[in-house]
Amino acid sequence: MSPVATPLVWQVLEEYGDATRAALADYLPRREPRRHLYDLLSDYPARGGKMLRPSLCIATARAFGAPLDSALRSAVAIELLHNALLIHDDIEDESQERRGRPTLHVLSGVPLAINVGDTLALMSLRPLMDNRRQLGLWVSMRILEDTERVARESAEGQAMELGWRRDNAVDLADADYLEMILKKTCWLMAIYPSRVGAIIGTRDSVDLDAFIRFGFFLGAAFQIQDDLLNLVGDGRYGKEISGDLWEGKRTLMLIRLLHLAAPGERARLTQVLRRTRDQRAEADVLWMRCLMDTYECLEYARRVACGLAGAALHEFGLLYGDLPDSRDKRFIEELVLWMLERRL
Amino acid sequence: MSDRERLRRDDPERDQPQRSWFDAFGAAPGGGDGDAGGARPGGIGSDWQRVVEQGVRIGYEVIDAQIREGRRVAEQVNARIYGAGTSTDGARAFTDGLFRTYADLASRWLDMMAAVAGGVSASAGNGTARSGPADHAGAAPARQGTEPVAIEVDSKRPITVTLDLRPGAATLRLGSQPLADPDPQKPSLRDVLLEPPEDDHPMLVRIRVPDLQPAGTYSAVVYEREAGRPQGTLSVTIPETPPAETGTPS
Repeated sequence: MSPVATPLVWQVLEEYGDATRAALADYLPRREPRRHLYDLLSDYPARGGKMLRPSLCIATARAFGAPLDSALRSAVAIELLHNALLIHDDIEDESQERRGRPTLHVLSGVPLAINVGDTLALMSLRPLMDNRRQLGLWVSMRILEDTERVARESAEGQAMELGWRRDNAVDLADADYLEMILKKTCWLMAIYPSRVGAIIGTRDSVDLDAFIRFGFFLGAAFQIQDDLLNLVGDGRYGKEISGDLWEGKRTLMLIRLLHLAAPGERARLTQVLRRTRDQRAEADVLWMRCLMDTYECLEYARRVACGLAGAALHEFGLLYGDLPDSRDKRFIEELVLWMLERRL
Repeated sequence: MSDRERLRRDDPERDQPQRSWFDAFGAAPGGGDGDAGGARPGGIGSDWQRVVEQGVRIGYEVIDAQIREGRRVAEQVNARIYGAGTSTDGARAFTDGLFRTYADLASRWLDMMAAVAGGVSASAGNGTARSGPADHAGAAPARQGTEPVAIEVDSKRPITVTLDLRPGAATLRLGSQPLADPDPQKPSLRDVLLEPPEDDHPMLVRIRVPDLQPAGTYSAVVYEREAGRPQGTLSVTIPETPPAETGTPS
C-alpha cells in the first residue's frame, strides 16, 4: 500500500501557522536590550517550524464551532511556550542543531540562551491574559489552569529523561518510555493544544480527559516517528542525524536494543552510554546504529508507532465522531496519518 | 471447449478485506508473516502483530494510569475547596456554574468601569478593581465599609434603594447622573442628591420618585465630583403596582 498523501494537513498548517506568526509578532517587544534579549527572542520562532501545536489548537476550537480569532491568542501562547522549552531542551540535551541552524546556546552561549528561554516562557502568559476580553474570565482561567498543568507535565517528563541519562539507566521498559513521552512530548504537542481548543470551542463544557487519550496516542506516534527520523532522516531533516545516539537519548529503539542485546554487547552499550557526548566516539555511535538494524529495533518502533496511530484514530472517532464534518475535523483526523508519513 | 467445460478459477486466497495497521504502511523487507525472523539474533520472529497489540495495550495502561492520578489529585483539590466528603457532582456543578456566571459578570463590570473611568486599569490585582461588585459576586455579601449613610426617600410607593460604594467613598463629595432604566422609553429619575458627611451627620442620599414614575430598576454610576472617578453605583427599584391597589372599590 502506498503512503497516504495528506495535502490538507500541509494547507491547514500553512494557513494557521501564518495567522499565528502574524499574531505572535505583536507580542515580541522591540526595545532594549535588543542584542542580548529581544532580538534573540525572535530567533527560534522565526526559524520556521511546522506550527503543529497552534494549528491543532485552532482546528479543535473551530471543529467545535468557534471562530479562528477566538483561539489565536492561545495559539500564540502555545508557540511561545514551545519555543521556550526548545531552547532549554537544546541546552539540556547539548544539541548542536535546531531547524537547520546551530542551536541558540551554540550561537549566543548558555547563559543568554537560558535567559531567552525564561523570557519566552513568561511572555506566553500575556496572550493568555488577553484572552479575558474575548473569552470571558472563566474560560480564560481554565486555559491558564491547563497551562500550569502542561508546564508541570513537561518538566516532569524532561526530569525523567535527563535523570535516566545522568544515572545511565539501562533497564527501562517500553512503558517507562511511553510515560516519559506522555509527559515530556504529548502534553505540549497534542493534549494541551486540543484541550485548550475544546475549552474555547465548547466554553469549557466538555469532558477534557478524553483529549488526554487522543493527544497521547497522537503525540506518541509523532515522537516515535521523530526518533526514527533522527536515525534515518534525509537532508530535509532539520536536526543532526543520529544526534539522539550521540546524546544517549533513551528512545524506544535504544530501550529495545538494551533489552535484546547479548551480554557482551549490553556491557559495551552500558559503557558507551555512561560517557558524556564529547567522550563518545563516532565508532561507538555507528556501532550502536548498526546493532539497532541487526535487532530490527527501528522496525519494532515503527510497528509500535503504527499501533499507537491506530489507537489515536479510534480515540478520534470517540471524541470528534459526533461533530459535523468540517475541514478542521478532517485535518485533525489526517494528522494521525501525517505523523507516520512525514519526513520532516 | 465443450459446453460442459467451464472456465474455472481457483478460489481466492482471502474472502474478506485484511486491514491491519502494520500492513497499511508496507511490511518491512523480510518482516512479514511466515518469515524466519528467528534466524536473526534476538529477533522476535515475524510476530509483528503481537508487537502492535502489545504497544497499544501498554499505551492504554500508561494513559489510563495518568488519568486516574489526575482525577485523584482533582478530588483532593476539590475536597480542600468544597470540604471533605462533599458533594455530589450535581452540587459541585452548580457551584462551578455560579462561580462561572459571577466571574464573567464581574469581568464585564470591570471592563465597563474601565471604560467609564477612561484609563483606570480594570485588570485583576489593581486596587481599583478589587473593590466593587466583583467582591460580592459569588461570595457572601460584604458590608460596604463602615461609613454610615442616610437615605431619604420621597415616594408614595415602597421602593428599594441600593447603594454600592468603594470603601472610603462615603467621605467624598459624590454625584450621580440621572438614574436610568434599561428601557429608554422610561424617563430617568433626576431628583437625586448626594451630600457629603459633615460634622456628626453621615453622608446623605436624597431621592424623590414622581408618583407616575413607571416601575423598573433605575441605576447610575456614582462618581467623585472633583476627579470624576467612579466610586460605585446607585439604583432604585420601583415594583410593579398590584392591580388590587390601583382599582376603585366596587
